[in-house]
Amino acid sequence: MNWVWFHKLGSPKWFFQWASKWSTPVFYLGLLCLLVGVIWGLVFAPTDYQQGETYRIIYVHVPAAVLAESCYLSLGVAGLVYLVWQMKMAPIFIKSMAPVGAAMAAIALISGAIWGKPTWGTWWVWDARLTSVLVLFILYMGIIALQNTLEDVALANQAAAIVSVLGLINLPIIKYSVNWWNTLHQPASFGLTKKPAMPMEMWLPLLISLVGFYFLVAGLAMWRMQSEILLRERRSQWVKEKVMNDGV
Amino acid sequence: MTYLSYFKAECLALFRTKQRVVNALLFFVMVVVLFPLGIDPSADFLSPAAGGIIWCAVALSVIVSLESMFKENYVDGVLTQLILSGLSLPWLMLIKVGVYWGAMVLPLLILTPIFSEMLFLPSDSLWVLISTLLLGSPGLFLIGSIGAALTVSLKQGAMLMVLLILPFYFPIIIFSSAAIKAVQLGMPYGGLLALIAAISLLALVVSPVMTSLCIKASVR
Amino acid sequence: MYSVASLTISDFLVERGESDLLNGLSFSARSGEIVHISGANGAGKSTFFKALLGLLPLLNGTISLNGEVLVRPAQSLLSKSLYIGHGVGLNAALTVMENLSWYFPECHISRFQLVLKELSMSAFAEAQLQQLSAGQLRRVALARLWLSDKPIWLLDEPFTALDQTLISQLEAKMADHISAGGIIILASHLPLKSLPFQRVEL
Repeated sequence: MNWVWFHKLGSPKWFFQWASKWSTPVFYLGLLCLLVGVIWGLVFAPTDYQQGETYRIIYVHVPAAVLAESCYLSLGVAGLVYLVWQMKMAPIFIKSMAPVGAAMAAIALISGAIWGKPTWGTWWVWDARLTSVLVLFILYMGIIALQNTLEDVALANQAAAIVSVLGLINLPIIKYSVNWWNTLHQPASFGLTKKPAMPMEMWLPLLISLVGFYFLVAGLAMWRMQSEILLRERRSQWVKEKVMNDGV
Repeated sequence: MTYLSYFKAECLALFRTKQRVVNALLFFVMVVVLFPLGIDPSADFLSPAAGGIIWCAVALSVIVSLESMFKENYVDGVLTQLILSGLSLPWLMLIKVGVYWGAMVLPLLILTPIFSEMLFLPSDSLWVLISTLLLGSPGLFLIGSIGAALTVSLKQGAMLMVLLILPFYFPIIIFSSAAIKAVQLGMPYGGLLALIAAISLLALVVSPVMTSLCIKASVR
Repeated sequence: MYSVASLTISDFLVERGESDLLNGLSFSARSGEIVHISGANGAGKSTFFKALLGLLPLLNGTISLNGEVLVRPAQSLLSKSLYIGHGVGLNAALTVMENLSWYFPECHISRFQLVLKELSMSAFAEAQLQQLSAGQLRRVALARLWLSDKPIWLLDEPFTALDQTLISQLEAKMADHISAGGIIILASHLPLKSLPFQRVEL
């Protein structure tokens, strides 16, 4: 197997140049998908025969919840990569991604509460799934707090990587908690293997919106990583040259 | 330095600073007392909640007792010497956590029947509570030691440690209080005990390695 | 006689916060030699020891023992070296005796008593470390030099908080060690009084 890409990915300089080409298009592609998906979902998709119009919040809620989990999965992988290979890019990724993931978890929680009030008659239930998203949110906040508190950069990198890896244990609990505990929450709306339970006209905008979220987060993360790279590599020759040539 | 001499030294050191363990136990008592005082002293509320209350108090007092476990060693340069001792740091960390666990869990087991009586826990659930404590508390200590190692270089790391470590305690607390509830409802609880043991075993594998990684990153 | 004939350090480079330290530091110490590392505060004296012992990652540089470049330097050096740094490395909750028997469980108590007597610490053998002064703590830490059989001594500011008698005692002990074929690397801003040494400026 060819590992060149892996080593390239480990180089902040290479990543910076790659990201400066791709971050903007990816972000706007994401924005476009999101707009299409959300407008389609909110305006054109058919009304649900059980939940009425309120179900439409899933076009924001479901993608945000999926992203909150995906972001954490990526943090855990990055943490593992850092612990094993000490790759320079991994802590940069963790630092840039944690606030984005926290925002996603917050959106999922808030939109879920807004949906829960008319549907379940309550803003919040202590259901396994809700609780584990809340825990996920706390985990994100913990990682952010850790990185802001530890002043030694090397230590902050290591610590954030360790907590990310440990938090990965939490992901399967989130994923399977629906089955483990008898809960109010409906089973997952999405599955790649099984046929979607909802009609195509509802499902398709959700898919587009989800893809939009993914691209949006990828673009955001690349932007954040670029500035983090500039900050961390400020002493290296290529950053100095870049700032001299292009200005800030 | 050998593993045995380190074990002896840790036992002695903990024995000399036993006030810390006593403080953690008093903290446990205070948290338990808060519930009847703050919520409802009636048996109707306390009896089904007793297991959960005791477990929350245990989890908090474990964090409090572990928060400073590496602090003095860090300042005095003992951690540096442990890393340089040529012995395996994960094993040394496991020894230290084991000593702390032993020192805390015995008095806790003595206090538990008293407090379960005060919280009106039905006496047939008591044995399940004690089993969950025996199976789950190693997990609490092992996970907690990672947090203590993460925040060892901070002067005031207690808050951060609670924030970081408490989420990892949730599964143990949930399963333990679920097991106690299950026995009160006459349902099978063996599977839950097995889950608690599984979490502790997982922590036994992961924690010493993670703790020593944190220690190595902190000692610079 | 000790089994280590030479310790060679070449092209050390360590990143510490905002700056690179030890720019390409290289030196070689043969059996029976003292290397004295000097430099202003913040020049990287302590950093050097930490990098040598693998506590800090080396950006660049190699360590060779007896002419062979070490692949995993930290592991190979640990079994042959004794490091005494700024931290005394003693457990404050234990007594002097208990600390020593923790470090050297194979030694008999009478040996500890001898060493403590030499360091004029006999009266404090059973004292808890919290009751000792800074200088006395340093003495207990240095007692490890008397008890250890490691060939390479790595001493970071060993003379801090010591009085004149103990400084000359320590120098005598160092003379014993190098005449037995040991290697000493020490960092200090004070020069050694009575011993020949190779000077390395950071």
